[in-house]
Amino acid sequence: MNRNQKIKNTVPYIAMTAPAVLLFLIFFVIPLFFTIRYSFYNWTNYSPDITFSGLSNYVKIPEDKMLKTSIKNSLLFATATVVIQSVITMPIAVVLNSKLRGRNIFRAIFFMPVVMSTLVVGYLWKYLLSSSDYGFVNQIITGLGFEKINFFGNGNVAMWTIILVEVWQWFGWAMVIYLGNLQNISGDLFEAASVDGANAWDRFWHIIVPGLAPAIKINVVTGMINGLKVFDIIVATTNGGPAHRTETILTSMYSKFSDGNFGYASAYGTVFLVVAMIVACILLGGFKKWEERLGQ
Amino acid sequence: MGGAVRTMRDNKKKKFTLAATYIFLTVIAVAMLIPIYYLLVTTFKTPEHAAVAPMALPSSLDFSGYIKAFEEMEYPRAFRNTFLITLISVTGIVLFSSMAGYVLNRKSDKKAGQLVFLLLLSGMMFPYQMSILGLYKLIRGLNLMNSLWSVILVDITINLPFAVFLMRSYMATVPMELDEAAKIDGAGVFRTFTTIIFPLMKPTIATVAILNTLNVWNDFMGPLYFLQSRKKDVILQEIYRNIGQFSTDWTGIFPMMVLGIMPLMIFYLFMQKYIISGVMAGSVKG
Amino acid sequence: MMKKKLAWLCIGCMAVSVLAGCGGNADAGNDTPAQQEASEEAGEEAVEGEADSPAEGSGEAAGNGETISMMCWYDEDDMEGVVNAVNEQLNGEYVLEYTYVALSDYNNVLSTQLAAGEGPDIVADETDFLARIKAGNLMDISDMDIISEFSEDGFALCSEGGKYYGIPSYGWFAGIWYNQDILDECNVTLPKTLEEFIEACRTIQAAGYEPVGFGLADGDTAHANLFGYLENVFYHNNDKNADGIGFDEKFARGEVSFEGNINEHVEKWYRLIEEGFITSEMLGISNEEALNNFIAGRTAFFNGGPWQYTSFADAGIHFGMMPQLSDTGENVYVIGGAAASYGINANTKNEAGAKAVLSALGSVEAQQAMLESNPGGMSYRNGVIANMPEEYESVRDAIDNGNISYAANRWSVDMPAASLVDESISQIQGLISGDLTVDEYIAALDAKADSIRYE
Repeated sequence: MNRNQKIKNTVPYIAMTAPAVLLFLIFFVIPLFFTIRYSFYNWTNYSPDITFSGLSNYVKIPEDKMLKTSIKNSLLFATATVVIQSVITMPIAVVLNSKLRGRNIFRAIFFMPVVMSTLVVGYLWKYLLSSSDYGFVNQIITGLGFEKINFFGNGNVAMWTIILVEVWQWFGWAMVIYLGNLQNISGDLFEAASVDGANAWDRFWHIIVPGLAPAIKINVVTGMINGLKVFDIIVATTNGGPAHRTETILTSMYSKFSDGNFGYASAYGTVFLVVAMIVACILLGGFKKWEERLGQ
Repeated sequence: MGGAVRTMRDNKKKKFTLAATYIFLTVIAVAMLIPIYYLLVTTFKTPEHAAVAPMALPSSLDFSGYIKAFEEMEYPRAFRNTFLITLISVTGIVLFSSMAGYVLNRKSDKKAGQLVFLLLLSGMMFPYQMSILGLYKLIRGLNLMNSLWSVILVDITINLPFAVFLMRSYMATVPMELDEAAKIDGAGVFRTFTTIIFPLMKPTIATVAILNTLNVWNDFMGPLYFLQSRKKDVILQEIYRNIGQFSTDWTGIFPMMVLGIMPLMIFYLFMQKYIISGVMAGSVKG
Repeated sequence: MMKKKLAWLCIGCMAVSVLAGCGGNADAGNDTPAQQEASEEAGEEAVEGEADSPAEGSGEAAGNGETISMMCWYDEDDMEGVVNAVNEQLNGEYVLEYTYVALSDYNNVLSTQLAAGEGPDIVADETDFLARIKAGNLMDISDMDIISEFSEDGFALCSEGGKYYGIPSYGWFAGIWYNQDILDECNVTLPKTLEEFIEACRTIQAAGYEPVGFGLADGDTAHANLFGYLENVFYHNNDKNADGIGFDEKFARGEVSFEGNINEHVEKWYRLIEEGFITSEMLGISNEEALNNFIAGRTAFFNGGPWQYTSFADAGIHFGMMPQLSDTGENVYVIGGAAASYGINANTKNEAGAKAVLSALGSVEAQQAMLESNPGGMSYRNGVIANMPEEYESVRDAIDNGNISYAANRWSVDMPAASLVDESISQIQGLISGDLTVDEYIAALDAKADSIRYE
C-alpha cells in the first residue's frame, strides 16, 4: 500500500470524527482555555483594567471555606444518588424482569418523573416538603403524630432531601438501564445456579451483580456526571442554603461570579477542573480493573 | 403425601412472596404518582383549598388558570423555540456521536483514536458553566447572541461526550466482519457506515436520542445566558420568569408547571413502551 | 450622496468590527485578555457609529421601531405601566423591551453579560451601580437634559466624581407591616421599641397567631429586620459609634470591622430568635408562603415595603406600616434609599435609541407609573406627585424627617454590596438554625467583606 492510499484511507475516518471533535474544541476546549488563562489575571467587575497577577488568585483559594463544602457536597450528592438508586433499583429491576403481571405498568410509572424537567421537579418538591402549613408531606407527618421535619431548612437534612428528590426523579432511568442489562444475562445462568442449589442471595451476588457490570458502569458514570454538575435542582429548592450547607461546585462557582471577581472565579473553576479530572481517572481506572477481573 | 404438603407450603410461600412483591411495587408507584397527582389537582384549586385539602379532587374543573398561564407564557412561541432547539440539537448529537463512536471503536487500537476518545471523555465530567465567560465571548464573537443556534451548538457540544461514549461501547457488539465484508464488496468507509452500521446502531441511537431530548429540553442555564430576548426564550424560562414574580396566588403557577412538563409527558405517555424498550436495548452492550 | 457614502462606511466598520471580534476570540493563545478587550472595544465603537451617524448626518429622527432592551428584577406587572408610558412617548420610533430576571440571579447574569461586552441597552442596578460605573460599563450621561429634573439625593448610587451615569427609578423604603385587626383582637398597642415588640409578640403568640412572618428559605426579611434595628441603635442614636453612618465608609474601605462594634446590638436582636419568634422552621418556608400567611390574616408582623402594598390592599386586610425596631422609639428610621437606577450600557449598539428611552424613563409619566405600582414610594423627579396612603401613618414622621437610610447603600463605595447582603442572608440562616453564634455570624460578615473589597 503506498502512502497516498494510506492517507486516502484515513480521510473518511477523520471526516467522520471531525464534527464532534471540532465542536468540542471550539465550544468546550477554547472557552476552557479562556478560563484557565483568566485565572492568572486580576479581573473584576468594578475595574476596566485586566492585569496579569500570576498565582495570586490561587493563593486565596485554600482559605475559601466554600470550596471544601461544595466539593464535599457534590461528591456526596453524586455518590449517594448512585448508591441509593442502585440499591433500590437493582432488586426492582430483577423483579420487573420476571414474568410478573402488570410489570409494564410499573415500569411506565417508575420512569415517569424522568421526563419532567428538573426545575419543575425542584419547585414541586419545594412546595410538597415546605415546613409551612401548606407543606403536604409535613401535614401527613404531623397528622401521624410526629414532629415536622424541616426538609430544606435544616442544614443537617437539606442535602439528603435534595438527594432523595434526585433519586425520586432519576431512579426510573437507572432501573431501565439495569433491566436492559438483565435481559442480556442468559436464563441458562440462572437455571444453572438454581440447580447448583444457590440461594437467592448467592444468585444475586455472584451472578446478577457481575452480570450487571456494564449497567453499573453506565449508571455510575451518568450519576457522577450529573452529580458533579448538579445545579438546577439546588437552585430550585435551597439555592445553597441554609447558611451555605447545600452549596455545590456549580452553585458556589455561580456565587463567585456574582461577587464580580472573574479572575478569582476562574481560578476557582480551574481547581474544579482538576477535581473533575481526578474523579474521572479514578472512575475509569477502577472500571477497567473491575472489567479485567471479571474477564478472567 | 409429603410431597403434596410441600407443594402446598411452597404454593403458600410463593403466594406470600408474590403479594409482598406487589405491595412493595405499589408503595413505590404511589410515591412516584402522588407528587404528580398533587401537581395536577392543585392547578384547579385556590391556595386556601390546596392548603386544607391537598389530596382532595378539585371541586370543579376550571381551566381558566390554564388559559391564563398559556397566554402569559406566550406558549406557542416558547414551545416552538424549545422544540426547534431540541430537534436540531438531538439530530446533531445523534449524527455526530454515531459517526465518531463508530470510528473511535474501529480505531481504538490506534494512538490517535485513543487520544481523541480521551479528549472527549475529559469533557464529560466538567460542567461547561465554569467557562461561561469564555463561552460568552465566543458566542458573541460569532454573532450568535439571542440566536437559537447559540443554545443548539452549546447543547450539542456538552452532550456529545457521553453520547460518543455510549455509541462507542455499543459498536463493540457490532462485528468487525461486517465492515470487512462491505469493504470486499467495494463500499467505502462512509457508505459502509450509512448503509450497514448506522441501521444496526438503532437501539443505542434510541437511547442517545431519548436521553438527550430530556437533557436539551430541560436545559435551563444555556437559554438563561444566551437567549435574553423574550422572543427567543424557551418554556423553562417562561416558567422561571413567572415563578420568580408570583407572590399572592401561589396555585397560579401550577398550571404553568404542568404546561411546562406537558409536551414531554404526553409524548412519553404515548410512546412509553418504545422509550423504555429503546433505552433498555441500547444502553448497555450485550 | 453623503448618506450613501456614510452607509458604506458603516458597513465597512461593521465588517471590520465583526472580524476583529472573531479574531480576538479565535486567536486566544496570543493576546492577553486586556488586549483582546481593547480590540473588541474598538469593534464596538465602530458598530455604535452605525447607529449614530444616520441621525447626525440627516438630522432626521432615526429608529424605525428598533428594539431597546432593558433588564431588571422588578416584576413585569409592576413595570408594565412604566414600559407602556415609555413606549407611548417613543411613539414607535423605538420600542422598549423589558426582561425580568429574578433578583437571586440578576447580579450573576448582568455581570457576566457586561464582562463579555454584552448586556441590555439600558442597565438597571441598585447598590452595585457604582461598581458598573468603575468598570466602565456605563455611559457618562451628564450632558442629558433629563438629569436636571431630579433632586440630587436621587443620584446617590448613580453618580461618581461629579459625573452622572444614571437616573433613579424611585425611592424605596422598608419598615414592618402590621395587621391592625390582630393587634386589636389581642389588645396590643403598636410597639415602638424592641422590648415592646417582644412583649407584643408574646401576647399575639399566646392568642394563637403567628407573631412575625419570615420566609427565610429565600427571603431577605430577617436581614432587613436586623439591619433596620442596627440603623436605629448602632448607626443612629448611638454615642458609642462616633462615626455614625460614616462607619460604613470606613468599613467598606477595610479600616474598621463589624467585630467588636455591632456585637452587643446583634446580641439584643437575637432575643427574637431566643424567644421563639424567629424559628428554624422558617428556614424551610419561602418568602412567598410567609407573605401569603400575612395576607391571609394569620400573621401580625411582616417586614416589607411599598411594593407589597397593592396585594395587601387587594386582600382587604386592615394593615399599616411601622418603622424598624429600636431601643427607645425616638428618632426612628426606616431602611431605604434610591431604588434601581437606570443607565446606558457603554457597549450599546444603539446609543441614540438608548438615550431616547432613558429620557422617557425619566419622564413624569414613567416615574409616576412606577409609584403607582409602589404606593407610598418616593420620587426624586420634579413634578411627580407621591401620595402616601393612610396605612403609612406610623412611618410618616420618619419619612418626612428624611430618616431613611440603609447600610448596604453605603458599603457600595468600596465593595459589591449586594454580595455582602447575600452573605448576610445566608449566614443569618445559620444564626437561626443554631449552627452559628452571634459572634460567628459577625465574623462571617467580616470575612466576606475582606474577600470582596475593591483594591
